[in-house]
Amino acid sequence: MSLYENKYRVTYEAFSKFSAKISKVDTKQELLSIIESHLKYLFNYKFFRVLIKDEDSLKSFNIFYNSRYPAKLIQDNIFEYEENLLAKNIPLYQDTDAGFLNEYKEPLELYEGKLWGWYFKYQDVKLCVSLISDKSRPFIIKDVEILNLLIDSFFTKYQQLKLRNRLNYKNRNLESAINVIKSQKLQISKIVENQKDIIEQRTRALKQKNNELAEISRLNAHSVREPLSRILGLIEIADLYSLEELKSEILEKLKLSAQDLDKALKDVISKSSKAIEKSSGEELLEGE
Amino acid sequence: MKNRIKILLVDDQKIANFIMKKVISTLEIDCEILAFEKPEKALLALDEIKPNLIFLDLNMPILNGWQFLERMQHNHHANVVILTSSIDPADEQKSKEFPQVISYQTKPPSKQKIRAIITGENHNN
Repeated sequence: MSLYENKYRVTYEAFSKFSAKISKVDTKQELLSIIESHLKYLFNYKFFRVLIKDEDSLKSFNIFYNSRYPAKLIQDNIFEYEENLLAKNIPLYQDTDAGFLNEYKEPLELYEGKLWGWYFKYQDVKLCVSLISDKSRPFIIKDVEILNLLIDSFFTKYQQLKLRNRLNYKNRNLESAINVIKSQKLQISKIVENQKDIIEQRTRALKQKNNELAEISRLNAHSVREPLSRILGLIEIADLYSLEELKSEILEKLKLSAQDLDKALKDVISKSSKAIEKSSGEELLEGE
Repeated sequence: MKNRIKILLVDDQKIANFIMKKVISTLEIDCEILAFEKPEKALLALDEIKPNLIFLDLNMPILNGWQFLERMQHNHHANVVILTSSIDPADEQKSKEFPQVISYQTKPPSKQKIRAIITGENHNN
């Protein structure tokens, strides 16, 4: 008994070291490395494997005893016994020659090899944990206790990292969305500012043109009204003349004034059309 | 004739002066009418003529009506009637700045109004 007690005291010390280490990891790869380097102090094995199945993915990692290659989390690799475990949830204990592991090219050299398998479920995530041991490195039923603790610690950390990654990803998306909004806001305010400038410029130009046109129309009105007022004045006094006098005194003056009026009107029309041409020409230039 | 009213017409348009002369002559008022087509000459003749009343056009070359008013302002006390073909209200407003201007009339001149002005019955219209 004291031998067992001693063994488990050592094992729990190893486990607490392992726990302390994994609490500090930042990535899934680091988590795997810690498990790989500490696993042999927790229990005996020749091959250890965890399959993680959640709603949208199937991932697994393998640890070979004394392997030259570091363990890696890979996708879409499931063995037949794991499918049975996922379907029936019954723990597995059977003889094995580890033939299904040939593709990994890591020779196990088993003496009466045994395959162990367990099914775990954490909310929406299912785990298949399996290991191969033999007489040289025997796994015993009492080790299941420490294996449970190991899987608990592993999975808690695994979920934590996964959630953190998701959160980081969302934060990054959010940040880039905020940046897009910021830059769009800046662009909009630039456009608004630019339009304000354009409107001010156009308003100034229009006011100036209005003043010019008002001045032209004022001059025009006067130049037309002057000969017209003469014509009206002559008509006003026409009653005071005899027919003969009208012919000699008034008619010539009427004719002259009418000619002046005609000249003034022609002048007004040519000036106005020039002014309109000029302003529409300027608008075309500004529009470019 | 000492009491004869002296009236000065200043308008660069000969026909305008002709019309005014005729209009005034029909009023049968004893007066002397002198017409100038060049305002600068009229200004020089003011001392000699000493008119009682001046009918002044605004839009004239060389010396326009406003310049004429400014130059005569300090030396002469003749009453001035603006007689213009302008219908710009700004001109009528400006004419009020000159104390010697007693009336602002647009062409063609109205016989009744001219009579009222010359006989002194109505200085404001």
